[in-house]
Amino acid sequence: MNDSYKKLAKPYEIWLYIFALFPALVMFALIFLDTEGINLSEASLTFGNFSQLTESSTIIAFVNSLKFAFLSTLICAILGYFVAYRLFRSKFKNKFLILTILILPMWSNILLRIEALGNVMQPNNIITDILSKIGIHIGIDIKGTSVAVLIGLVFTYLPFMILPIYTALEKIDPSLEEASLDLGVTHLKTFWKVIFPLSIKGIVTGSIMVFLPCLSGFAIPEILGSGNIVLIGNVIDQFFRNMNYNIGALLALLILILILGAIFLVQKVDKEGETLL
Amino acid sequence: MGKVIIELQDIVKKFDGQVIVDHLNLTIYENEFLTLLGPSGCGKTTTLRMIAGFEKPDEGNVIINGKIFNNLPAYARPINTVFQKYALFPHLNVLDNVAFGLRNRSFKFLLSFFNEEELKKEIIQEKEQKGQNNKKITKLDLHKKINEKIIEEAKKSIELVKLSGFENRKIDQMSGGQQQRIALARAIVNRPQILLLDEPLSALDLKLRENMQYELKEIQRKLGITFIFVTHDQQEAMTMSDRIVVMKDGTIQQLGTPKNIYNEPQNRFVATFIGESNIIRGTYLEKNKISFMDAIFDCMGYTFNDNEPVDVVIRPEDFDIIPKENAKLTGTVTSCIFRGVFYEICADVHEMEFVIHAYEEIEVGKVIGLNVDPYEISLMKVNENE
Ligand SMILES: Nc1ncnc2c1ncn2[C@@H]1O[C@H](COP(=O)(O)OP(=O)(O)OP(=O)(O)O)[C@@H](O)[C@H]1O
Ligand SMILES: [Mg+2]
Repeated sequence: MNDSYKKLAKPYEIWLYIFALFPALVMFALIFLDTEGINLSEASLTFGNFSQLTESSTIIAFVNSLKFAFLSTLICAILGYFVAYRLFRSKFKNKFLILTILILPMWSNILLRIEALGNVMQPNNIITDILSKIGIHIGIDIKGTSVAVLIGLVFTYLPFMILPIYTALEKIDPSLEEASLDLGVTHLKTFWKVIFPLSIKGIVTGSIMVFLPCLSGFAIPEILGSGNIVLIGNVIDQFFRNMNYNIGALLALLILILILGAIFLVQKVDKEGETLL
Repeated sequence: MGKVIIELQDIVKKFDGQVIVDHLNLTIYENEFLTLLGPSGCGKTTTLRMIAGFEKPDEGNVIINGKIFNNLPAYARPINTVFQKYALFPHLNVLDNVAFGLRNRSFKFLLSFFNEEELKKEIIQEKEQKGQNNKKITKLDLHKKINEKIIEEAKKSIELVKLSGFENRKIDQMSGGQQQRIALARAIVNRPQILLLDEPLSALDLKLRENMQYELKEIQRKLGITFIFVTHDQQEAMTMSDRIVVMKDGTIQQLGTPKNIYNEPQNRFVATFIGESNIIRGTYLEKNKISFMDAIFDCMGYTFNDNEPVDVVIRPEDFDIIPKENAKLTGTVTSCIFRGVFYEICADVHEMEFVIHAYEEIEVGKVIGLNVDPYEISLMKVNENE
């Protein structure tokens, strides 16, 4: 019984070997090589690629990435907690429907969404057109600024924060809140002493699910930052575009190690993976 | 009886249009150990929850200390609860769970809880011991002292439920019975005026349960708390309560002392729910004369109309087995089972199955005579709906 189920996982296992593990190994090899593109025939062994790590451009991009990832995680955590908590408290029967509506944007193509968002951030877009038809003349011009990138990141990754927090909240036994009230503790204090500590798992899971793509992504800063804002993802993107696979692989692996570390952290905090739905 | 502490006036509670508690009237006195006893789903927990403030009655009033409490939130009531499902905080250890109620109270509350004067006296004493001349008591001193006191109280409470040494354990490392006792400690530590206990001993083994029954009774006497206790277990109700409320389908079937309920059940439900009973249809002939099963018996202490049909209740242990020659009732033994202290005998008497408790074994098939003393016969009004 168990064995035959294991067999069902085989195709996926093979898929992983071919499209994840093998490329990762190739990337690892590329770090120590100097190649012309991906052409291994004229490869030569070198440690020269590592000097890229101390280049100021790399460091600045990396610090920028951390800054943006940290800020958007923080904003997402605060906004996400409010939304999740509001939903958790609402008497609405079909909470699942609301959740679906919140996730719905995730199902449309991210590039389309970001392009659309970028459009709204410029003057003379469809919304200002419509508004001006009825006599309201407002418009913003923030595309290309850090604020625009931040808005884009939060806009894109907020659902990843709401879901785990909401799940963590739903899993709290309602009788715990009653017990706290019964012990003479007011509603506000009950929130801070019982509800919040028990939902931290959700915040940690959500934070990592927001932090990582913010750290490594390159499409959002590229489009909404109009090239003014360079994150580590953009640097990696540049190296790969310029056929410098060795340094690209090096930086990409660095990010990979960060991601693995983060997953390890989630597992520590949330052993049963409860908040991952 | 002492002062009235809780009054439930004509309480009705409905869930989804279904009546769960039906025009319940109940007066509870200070310092009393009152037990709600009844089958699963009869509304015991719901009644407790209305007293605690987690449910609002649809009709009627909850009056505590003479004030209508219907809309007072749970945290403002002088009541603590031991929940049926424990409801311990999984993110806190045992000590922090027990200390939770005191730690999260206002400074003002704690000052009066621990008696401000005493606190100050102790602080001054300590300062003298340390040889400090500065006799001024700061707020910080008080805070420190209160924190000490809270931990002291929590530890005392943990000791009371016999869990000393487990203070730093996590909740999920404790067994069901231990968790139940933590829940008890967590409630008691606040010295509430009223303690609600929803089957607080259900997860304990017999020995520990008996111990805890005794301890609870002691705690109640010592601290002078009014206990409202819920249980399925009639034995437990009998041994612990001052008064028992027998409930069924959200209504009170009978309210009285354990003795009163056992010896004079008011209807078939109470008679069968509390202990075992033989219930026989009879006729109340005249004062102190009752006829059933073609024989006339003496009885005492009941008044009905002459010749009114009544239900006669005789407990299994109230039959005396006598030689069949001088007996008004005779029966054939159909089974005899050893039950530890006594034998449980089933006998066919006038085509009715009687349960009789006896101290000697009687062989199956033997014809026995039965006698019952006048004061062992209880009579109930016939209720055709049952
Ligand atoms: N929140 C609720 N919503 C709907 N029905 C409820 C609710 N709480 C209780 N009930 C119903 O009310 C009835 C009485 O429930 P209650 O919990 O008071 O029973 P109980 O006497 O405590 O039983 P037990 O001995 O099994 O704990 C049950 O039929 C239950 O299904
Ligand atoms: Mg119950």
